[in-house]
Amino acid sequence: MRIEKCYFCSGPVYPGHGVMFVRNDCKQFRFCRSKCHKNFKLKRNPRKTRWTKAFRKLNGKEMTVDKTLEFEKKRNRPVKYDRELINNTIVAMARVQKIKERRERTFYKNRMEGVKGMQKKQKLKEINQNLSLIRGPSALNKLQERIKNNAEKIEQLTTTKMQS
Amino acid sequence: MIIKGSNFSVMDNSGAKKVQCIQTLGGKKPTSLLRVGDKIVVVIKKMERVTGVKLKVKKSDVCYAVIVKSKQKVRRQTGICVQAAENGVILLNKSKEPIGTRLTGIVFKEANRNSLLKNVSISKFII
Amino acid sequence: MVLYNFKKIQVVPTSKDFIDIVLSKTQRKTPTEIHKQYAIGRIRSFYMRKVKYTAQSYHEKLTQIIADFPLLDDIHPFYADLINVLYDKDHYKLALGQLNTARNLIDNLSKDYLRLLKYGDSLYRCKQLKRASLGRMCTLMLKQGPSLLYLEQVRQHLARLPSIDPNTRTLLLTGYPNVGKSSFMNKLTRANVDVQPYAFTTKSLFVGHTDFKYNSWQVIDTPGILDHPLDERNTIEMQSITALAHLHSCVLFLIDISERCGYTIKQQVDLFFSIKALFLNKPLLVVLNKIDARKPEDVPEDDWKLIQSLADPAKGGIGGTQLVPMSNLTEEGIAKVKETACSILFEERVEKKLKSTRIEKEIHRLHLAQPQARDKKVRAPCIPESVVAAARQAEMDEESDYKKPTLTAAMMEMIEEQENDEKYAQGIIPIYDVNAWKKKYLLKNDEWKFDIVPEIINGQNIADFVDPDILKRLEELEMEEEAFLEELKNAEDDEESDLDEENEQLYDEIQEKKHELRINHQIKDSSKPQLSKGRKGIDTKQMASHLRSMHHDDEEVDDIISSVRERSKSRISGKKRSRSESRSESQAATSQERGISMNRSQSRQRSTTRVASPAPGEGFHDLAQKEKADKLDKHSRKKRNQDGRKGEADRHIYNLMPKHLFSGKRSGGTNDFR
Repeated sequence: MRIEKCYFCSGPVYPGHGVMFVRNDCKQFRFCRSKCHKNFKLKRNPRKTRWTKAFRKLNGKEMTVDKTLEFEKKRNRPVKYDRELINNTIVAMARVQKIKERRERTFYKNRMEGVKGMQKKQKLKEINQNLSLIRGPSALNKLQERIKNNAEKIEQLTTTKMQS
Repeated sequence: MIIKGSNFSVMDNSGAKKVQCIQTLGGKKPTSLLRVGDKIVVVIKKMERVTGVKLKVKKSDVCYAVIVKSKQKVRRQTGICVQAAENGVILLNKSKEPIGTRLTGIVFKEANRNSLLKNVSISKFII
Repeated sequence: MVLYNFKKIQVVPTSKDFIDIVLSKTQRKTPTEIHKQYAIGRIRSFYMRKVKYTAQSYHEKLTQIIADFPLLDDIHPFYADLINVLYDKDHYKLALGQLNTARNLIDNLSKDYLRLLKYGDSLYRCKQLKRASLGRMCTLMLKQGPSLLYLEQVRQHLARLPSIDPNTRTLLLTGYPNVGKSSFMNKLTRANVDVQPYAFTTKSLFVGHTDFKYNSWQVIDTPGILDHPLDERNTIEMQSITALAHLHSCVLFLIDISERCGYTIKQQVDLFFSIKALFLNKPLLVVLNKIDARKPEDVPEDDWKLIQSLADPAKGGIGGTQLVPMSNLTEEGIAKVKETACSILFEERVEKKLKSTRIEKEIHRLHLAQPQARDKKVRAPCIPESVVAAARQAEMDEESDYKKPTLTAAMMEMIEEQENDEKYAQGIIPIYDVNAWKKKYLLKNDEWKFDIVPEIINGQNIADFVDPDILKRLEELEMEEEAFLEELKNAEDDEESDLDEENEQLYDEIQEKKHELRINHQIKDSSKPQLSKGRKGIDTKQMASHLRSMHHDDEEVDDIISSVRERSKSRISGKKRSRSESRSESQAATSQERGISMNRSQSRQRSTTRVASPAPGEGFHDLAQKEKADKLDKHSRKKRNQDGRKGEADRHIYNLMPKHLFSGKRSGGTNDFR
């Protein structure tokens, strides 16, 4: 029994799940669910379909080069059963998984570095533009100063971004 | 859906390329749905272009065949559904033994229900 | 190399069949219709064609038969002699000669009749001439009946002859009947010759093939030979003699030293001497068979001397003959016999080839080149030390690996079988263990054999991670991780400050408002046409709440509302109709008290004025009745108005009798039932 990898979304295909398609040249494609199978039948390229792991990896949205990733490999050389080795492996797998998760978090953080400023700018803009929805004309007058303030902040954010 | 009248590709080196089912065997009606491992009678519609080799079959020959792969999904004991890109058969002679000596395309394990392929069982084409 | 294959000779028909074939062919292949009123030239050519065609077919058929059968002078003398022995050369030649003469006669016959036919003056005469000619040809062929029959039998027999190649490497088995030639043949090859405990089981030559030193060797089994003069020999014996005489081969002369075949050793030795002439110039091997029945040491001394004399030229034997003991039953010495026989024949053949003139033409082409040594330095292959060490290490590992399981899998299987057998003997049927095969595992520790090996954990395959030095790699990874964490701690985080509280509040408020607007829009189903239900204003309460929601001050709100009221009042008072003025004024006052907006009161006012007392022509009894009728009318229209679907433009006159359904005849009766 083996957990296979879905051809389309690279998710795990557990035993008893999914569909296997065999092309005329003997290449086997496994799909984890009908969604992936249908997308394959539509001749979509998993590297160009945004929700697949392949796309995310190709476009730098996920960690691709890391030592933790080298642990999991399909090995074609059989190793004789050794109880200690298996025990060690299971322990190591858990540890590697933990490290991998932490690294992924770091990776995400690094990737999201510039986003916060952008979001702030967007929010300020939204406030300045749509304040008339919640404030009558006279009430708006009282907030004039705040609007001015916000505009300044926006200016500041754009310039810092330009500089960086 | 494989029934009488369906067309198949041939997965062995007998020389035939395309065949059509003209009769169902094993107590199956012409309208009943066939699956991998069923035996049928086929007529050879198209031959491969080979020169210099004497073939055992020719165009418009009628012979037996066993279905070895299907577009229809086949459910395995292990739970996975397997499907191929086309429907395929291998040709059999009158005593229901393979005419060809080699497999040239994919063959599902299910085709081996009555130990038909014992002489070709070690093949990368068997899936 | 000429291969003799007599299987391709075509069937020789009997004389009657022959005639039938030819005549029916003539009938089929030539025109059949002729009339006496035809021009005489046409009639003549018609019959001439028939005669010519018949003669030609006879000629062709006979030629083919004559050509098919081998000419005794052309084929290998072995086959020529064999045919002589089997079918009698004279008879054979006579039959073929007769066919040849028949062919010539038929040719001449047809020539004569063609000449006569040229002068045929009527259809009748031409026909008679044709009849006569065909009749004579057929009579001629009928007379060939016996020879055709004979040739057919010869053909059948020839086809069944073993395909012996006279020029290849051959081992020839010979000796008295029943000395074990055929059994030896069966041991050596896969020919599967019939072996029976009586003399002359083998009645003809048999061929088998065996391999030695990557060459194929032909083994010929011959019928046994008795010791009497050549003239008295029968056909079966003569076949052996022919083979011995003409095939250049290694002769294996089998002697039964146990004398169980019914002939004494003396008789057998005598046979050897009587046919000695046939062995000259051939590699010869004397095989002492059936040593399982009687050892060579047990042979009486006189007989032993006789046997020894076979190899002694002084006593009339042939020098250089080897004596090899053998037993077909125990297979003792068979391999040795084969080896010696093959090798002596091989050497002989090579020697012969070297002597032949052809080799001289070729030998100068061969040249074995060898590099000359530059100096006396030894140049051993260079193997790096690391490789040598690795090889040694691997060897050591292997040893240590396999030291523990002292039993191999096969041995364990045998032990298991023994155990089972013992149990069976005691009458216990051993229970089949599903995991029995696991016993045969060869692992470092025997305790591990029956472990249930995990395959999957947390959505990962364990097999993908198994690696002999996984711990080492994990350690490396840990080190790296630690260093990284250290670095991370030192690095300061400078995060962008968020929005301040008030802005956050405003933002949330805007989002909420937008959502509300969106939802309201969705609720208001604008896809259908809507009937206006009269203008509906906003009352003060609504207005006030809206203004407050937009963060206007209370005072401001009051101001706005009062100003709006002022305006609506002025609009009503500006109406021209004086009759309702007082009424509207009073109403306005009340509405103000109740807090109802001006617009609403105005509409109410209008609706009430519309209901007037019934006019004389309207047919209502009094106002109440009219009001009720109005109400009913409105109610009936309510649904239609709400839908607002069908207008004047939608008027459509349906086709009550579509033409295609009501005209024309139908095959299934009238069209009424449709």
